[in-house]
Amino acid sequence: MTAYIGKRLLLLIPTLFGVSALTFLLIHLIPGDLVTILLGITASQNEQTRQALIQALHLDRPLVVQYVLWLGEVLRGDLGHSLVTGFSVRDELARSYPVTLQLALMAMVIALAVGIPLGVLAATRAGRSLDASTRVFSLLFISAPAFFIGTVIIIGGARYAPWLRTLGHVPFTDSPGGSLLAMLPAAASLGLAISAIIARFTRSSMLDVLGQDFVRTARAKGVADRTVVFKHALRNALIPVVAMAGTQFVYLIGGAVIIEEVFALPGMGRLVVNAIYQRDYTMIQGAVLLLTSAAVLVNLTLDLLYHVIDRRILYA
Amino acid sequence: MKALPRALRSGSLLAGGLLVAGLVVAALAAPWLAPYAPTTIFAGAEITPPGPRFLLGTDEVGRDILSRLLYGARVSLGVAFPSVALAVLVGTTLGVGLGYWGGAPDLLAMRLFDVLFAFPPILLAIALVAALGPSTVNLVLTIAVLTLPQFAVLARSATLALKPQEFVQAARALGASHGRILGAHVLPNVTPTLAVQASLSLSIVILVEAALSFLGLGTQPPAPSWGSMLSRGRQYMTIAPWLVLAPGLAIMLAVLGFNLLGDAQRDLLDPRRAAGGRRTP
Amino acid sequence: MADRTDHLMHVQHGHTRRAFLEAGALALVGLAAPPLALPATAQAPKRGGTLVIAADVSPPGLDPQKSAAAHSWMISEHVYGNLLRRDPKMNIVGDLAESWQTVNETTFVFRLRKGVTWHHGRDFVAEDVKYSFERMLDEKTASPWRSNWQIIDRIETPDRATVRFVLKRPFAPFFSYLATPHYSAIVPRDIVEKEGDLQKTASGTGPFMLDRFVPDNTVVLKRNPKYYESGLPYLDGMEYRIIPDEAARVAALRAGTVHYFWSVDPLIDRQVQGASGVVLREPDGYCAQHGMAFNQTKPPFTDVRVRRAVSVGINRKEIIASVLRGHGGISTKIPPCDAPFGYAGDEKGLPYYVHDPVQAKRLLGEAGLANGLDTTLEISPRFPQTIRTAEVMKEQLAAAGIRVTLKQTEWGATLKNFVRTEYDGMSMIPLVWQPDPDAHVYDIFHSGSNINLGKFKDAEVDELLERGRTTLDREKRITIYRDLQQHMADQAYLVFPYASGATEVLRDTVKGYISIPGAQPGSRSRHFFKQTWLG
Repeated sequence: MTAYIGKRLLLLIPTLFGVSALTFLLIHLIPGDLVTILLGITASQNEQTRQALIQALHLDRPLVVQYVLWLGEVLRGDLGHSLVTGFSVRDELARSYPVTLQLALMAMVIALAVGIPLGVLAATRAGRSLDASTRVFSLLFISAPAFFIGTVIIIGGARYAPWLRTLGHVPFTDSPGGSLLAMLPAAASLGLAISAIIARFTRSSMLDVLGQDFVRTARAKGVADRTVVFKHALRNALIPVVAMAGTQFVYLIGGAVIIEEVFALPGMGRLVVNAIYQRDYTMIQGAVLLLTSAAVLVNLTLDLLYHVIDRRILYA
Repeated sequence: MKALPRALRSGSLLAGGLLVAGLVVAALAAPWLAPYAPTTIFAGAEITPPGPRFLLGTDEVGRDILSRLLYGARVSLGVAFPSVALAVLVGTTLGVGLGYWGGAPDLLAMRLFDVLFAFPPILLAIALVAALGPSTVNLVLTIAVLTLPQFAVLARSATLALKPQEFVQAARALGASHGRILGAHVLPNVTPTLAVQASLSLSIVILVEAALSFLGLGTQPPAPSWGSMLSRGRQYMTIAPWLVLAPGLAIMLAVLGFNLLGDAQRDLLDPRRAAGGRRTP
Repeated sequence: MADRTDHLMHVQHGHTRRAFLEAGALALVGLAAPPLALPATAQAPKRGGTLVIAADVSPPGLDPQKSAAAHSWMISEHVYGNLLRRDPKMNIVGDLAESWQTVNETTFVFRLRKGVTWHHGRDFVAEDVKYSFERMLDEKTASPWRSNWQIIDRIETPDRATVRFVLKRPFAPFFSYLATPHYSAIVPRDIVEKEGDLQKTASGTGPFMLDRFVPDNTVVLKRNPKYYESGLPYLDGMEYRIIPDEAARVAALRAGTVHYFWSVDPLIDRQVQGASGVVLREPDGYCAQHGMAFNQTKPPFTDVRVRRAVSVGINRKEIIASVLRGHGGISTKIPPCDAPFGYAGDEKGLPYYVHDPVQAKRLLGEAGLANGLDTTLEISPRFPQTIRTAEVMKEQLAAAGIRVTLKQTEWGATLKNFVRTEYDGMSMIPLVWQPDPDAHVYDIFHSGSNINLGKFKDAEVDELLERGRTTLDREKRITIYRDLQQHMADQAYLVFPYASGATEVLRDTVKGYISIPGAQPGSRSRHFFKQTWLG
């Protein structure tokens, strides 16, 4: 087990290398002149001002050199400074990542809390009206784009519950209760959409399990129906659901850009998108490094969790 | 063939099939079905409610929504089908090849896929579109790049599962060429899983296009796109709900249709679930 | 829709207010603005409360000397003071300067206001002014405004309350620039040296102090109790809340959680329809423009007749009616809100502005293009208004035999190509308001400039530009720029479809508010929030 974890963690390094090199190449492929964007039309034509900025940002060096310079800084623990604002990349990431993480966690809690029970109910009442209405609910929320659900919530909130704060962010450290409440509408928009996926998946997984031999055997032995359903079937059924939920969570910690935009949350999604638009190379590199590490670590944790739930699963 | 009567009884397949067929018809027949051209601006008629002249009303620029909805089907399908097709083609080829031959390229490719999977997809999409420039072709390419790893991995694991099996070993022993094995044995077994995934991918791609349109990176104006119609219409939602209901419903029905088709295919493949969910008493 | 309630009434002290050095006559004395007096019938201002403004983009830093982003200035203009400011009628008045004197064409002496303190406590002195300009001129600062101030030869501070500027040559825009908040913010050396820059911290002499800056989230300003305009500000503070999505901004204003925002949506009235307590304000002059440039390094746009054909081929009135729903005006590079420097008449007063497809075809014929012309127009989807304008122009030009293909590129690329004339055919982008006619035209029209839009060379244009820049007499300057704009239209070096503006949306509890033309988002300057109150 330790060897497995060790091996996976070691693999993290080349993955990060690969990702950062790929990102570097990709963002430098984007046409557009950083200096013009930074200085505005008039000032960017002044040769001295241009050159001063270009040299300050090392933009005159060949790409490989720029990458190596950046890499050197990272290995020394310095993620550098934003090319656009001069703010420390580490500070910006430290400010915005907790927002994204909080949103992701809250959305997952809502998704699981709503999705799993619904899926189980639908499976046990398969073929009847509850099942049908669950399917309708699921399909509705799967197919409605998140920005649409979000706007409906915001506009509805503004009209019918103006006291409810739907926009902006209250840092958790300022006020835990307030923070959770303020982020609830955004988390709900995301969470409901994901709960639909979870519900569908739980339902089909439960149906799979309920049809298996050992379940029938247990029933034949006369164990009470309820116990059969919940103890044995659920545990087995949850395994693929956990895997699926894990994938969703990994996607969420990448920053739900659209929800962040609609609900004015200062998270990683918006940070990176703005960085891309502004050609803020150092910020993009730092952010991608963080997001990729997080994704890989979360994947590793989920794999281990998966293993704990079902000891029969072998390592790939 | 004995699947056919079962298929006809499947509500999912029927409903899904009808919806998708409707979508395709709308897309193909748009020039004949649409009362106006999708980009014609009727000055002074911005945000008019549905009425005899404009059956679904007009948008904020003064264009007929019904026409834009129908031509929007072209846009949605015009992005969804080619990108998923490309993803399936390239992804499957890659995946089957890697699974079948393995070796160093396989190790390298799997690391590459790890990298791609670790990269937040929406950010990859934005970076690619920004790098390539906003055009429909680039949009298709971007979405294809985002989707193909799933197919590659799926095809690869399916191939890996098949490789040690008896009939493949037997065929090799009999001297069958790789091509023949792949074509006659591997692919047919891999196809059903891929088909299910493809249907689901189609539904996801419609939503991805809508998401990118919200960010201004999807189909570029003035081309009609359900995603951008929905995004722009939100601002006038309170006074003109038809601006969002029309494209929203269209997206919903399209996603529903592809999902149902995917479900139906999965049900058909899996003998335990053929009856559509009736459980033991 | 325009709410022109003007709460100010200037108290006349017996000196003419018109005598100003905005390229005015020589040897006149300027005076600082007297304290504001309100008409007796108006409501008495209430103290307290926080004005909440919804902004679309987060400021990428707060340092006015380093940031060329308009969203930075929307904050810095409240925090920092300047030697000069503009009053609601756009006249130049004193801010940190109490009075000033023109010694000769290149020498100006300013006497500073007494009793002004920095937010961080110490007294404001002449040395602060000198430092501020030197910081902008220092290459290491990489200030976007460096080229504006290179005209300064030296700055002297004979005593704590006097600053003398000596310029290298007569420079007409000098006073306009001094009255432009982001060009000439006075900053404290000690804070810059302590923090490195003013991107995240701020200390100025303005009516509001920086309380908190959370990037992407909010900027909170609080009242400066030691502000030298006694009694002001009325508000306890202001908060700029960053809300990227317009639908969300509208919802917030309707709910009352936000008091103010601006919008360029011509249908903003529909967005707020039915909401109670909401007021819309049209700008009293249009300041924002779209400019279309031609690549004049190669045919066909080297031929003036082809350019003229494009100019008469479009129908500006129709574009304004359909794209802007009437919220726009005819314009040259100097917009109508800058009248009399800017052209504020209709299309009949400028050559080749009246729509005439027949004339367009004839001109093309004369240029040897009897079969019409195929060309490209490069634009960016970042600004939906640009796309719609381009679409309408495309249709109009088709009727004149000019077949335009719209080419959309990502904003960064569009901007770069536009500035360097690296596009094929034509390109169009939105342009930013400038504080002086010279700033509007010099760099982009002069043949010697790297960013000449279109890369054209015209000795007459160059000559007019030079004279406009060095003539201090205001009336003469107006004539020079009028001639320039007529000549530019005649040669159709660039085509301007219109000037537009942003509509301001407020809660009706916001009182005493005035905005004036400025280079900020929405092309307004909002520093009169200092006299706003919530009632």
